[in-house]
Amino acid sequence: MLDRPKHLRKIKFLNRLKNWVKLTSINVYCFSSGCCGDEILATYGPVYDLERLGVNFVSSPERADVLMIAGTITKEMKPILEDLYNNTEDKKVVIAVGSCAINGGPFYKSDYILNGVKEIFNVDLYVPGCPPRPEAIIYSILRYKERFK
Amino acid sequence: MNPDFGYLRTGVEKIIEGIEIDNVIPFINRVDNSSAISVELVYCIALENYFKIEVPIRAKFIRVILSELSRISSHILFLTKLANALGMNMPLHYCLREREEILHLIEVATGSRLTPNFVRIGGIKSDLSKQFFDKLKEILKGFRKKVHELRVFFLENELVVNKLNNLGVLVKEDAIKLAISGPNLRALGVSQDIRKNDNYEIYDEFNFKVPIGDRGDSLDRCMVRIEEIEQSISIISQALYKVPEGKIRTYGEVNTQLMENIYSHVECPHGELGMNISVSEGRIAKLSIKGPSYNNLFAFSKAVIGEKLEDIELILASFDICVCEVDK
Repeated sequence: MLDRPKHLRKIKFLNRLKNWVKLTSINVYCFSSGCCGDEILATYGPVYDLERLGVNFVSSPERADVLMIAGTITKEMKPILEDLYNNTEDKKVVIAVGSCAINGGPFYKSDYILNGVKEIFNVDLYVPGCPPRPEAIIYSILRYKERFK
Repeated sequence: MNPDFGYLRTGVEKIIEGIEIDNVIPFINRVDNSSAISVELVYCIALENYFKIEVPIRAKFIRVILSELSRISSHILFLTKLANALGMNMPLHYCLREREEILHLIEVATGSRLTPNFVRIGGIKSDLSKQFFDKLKEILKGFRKKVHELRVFFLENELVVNKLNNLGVLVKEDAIKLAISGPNLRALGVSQDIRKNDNYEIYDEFNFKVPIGDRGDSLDRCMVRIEEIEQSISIISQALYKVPEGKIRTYGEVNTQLMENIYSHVECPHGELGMNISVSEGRIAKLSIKGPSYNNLFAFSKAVIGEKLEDIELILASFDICVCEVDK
């Protein structure tokens, strides 16, 4: 009987520790093309400096907590994106950056593209704009952080 | 090595068939993401030459200033990619900081950082204020020194020079067979620049050199682009003091008859950008874009033969290929 609350307290502490770790180091895998890719590169630079929020851009999907998908999504890309999604962690968050990744953007009439990433898998956060400003991309990371507070 | 196409194909040329000629610009400026204003410019110049619309001189000056600004930003993006491929972190951050100043200027003038949607048939969308020119003067004053810093990072660093020297050499005969253009051709020693040869805007009023290399390796391609940044700064600083007062747009009469194969070309940061337009009843019947990056991609697959596997990323970065423009 005495063991139980102690055990629960331990789990609570571990959960809080895990959340704190997730809050301060976010691994982002970025899959981008076109002008949105240039804006994500700009957030990496010294003016906007996304790293001060604890964001690391990683180069393998196995290590990523956040999948950031930007640019036009064509039908040829679909198997590649499915592979990418299955290789990431279980509790991942998907961010769609730019109107091309949200619903096709200016090319929504085209035969070659999909109308957004939402046709392949679930999307948690949308960043509108064509292309979105770097501040908008930073704001999406701040919204992601709110989940662990 | 054969490139595999189709992964970024959007079909822009097909979508815009049947759209009125005034509404095409927001679609086509997404083709070239690093300097969108040159795509708008080539479209408007083609129709102006055909309809014989005279553009006001103030609008011409502002077009030149903005296209040179976007040339600077595109070349600095090239240096960023090169620094990333070389594994140098400090020059990468310096390049991104310098690029941000130029993008801020473009944003003040046009309202958007990358896709301006600013050039119109017969002129430009809106006039630039005096505050913009004051800001431009202030930023240009310190910018030459910053370009010199970048030159020290890339061309006076012994490690970088030894790495890039004789890497990815392109033979002149191959280059002419593949019809490549722009800085990659100039790095081979061919002095070919549409700004000098064709004078499409008021480029004949400015004094500027066309920088050329001699061997055609990665070092020459890097050097040519850094020198082009300096030349662009000198063009802008000459244009700043010559901008006259006056109108910014003329509304000419647009025929609604069928017309075919209107062609024009400009010098975009990657090379020669051409456009072929057919119009019927005020709407686009067919439009095809001839981008320079397509030819540069095949030149890359020639230049990469015989090099080490780990250097491929570096050689690809040194060719400055805009992927959106290859798969339109």
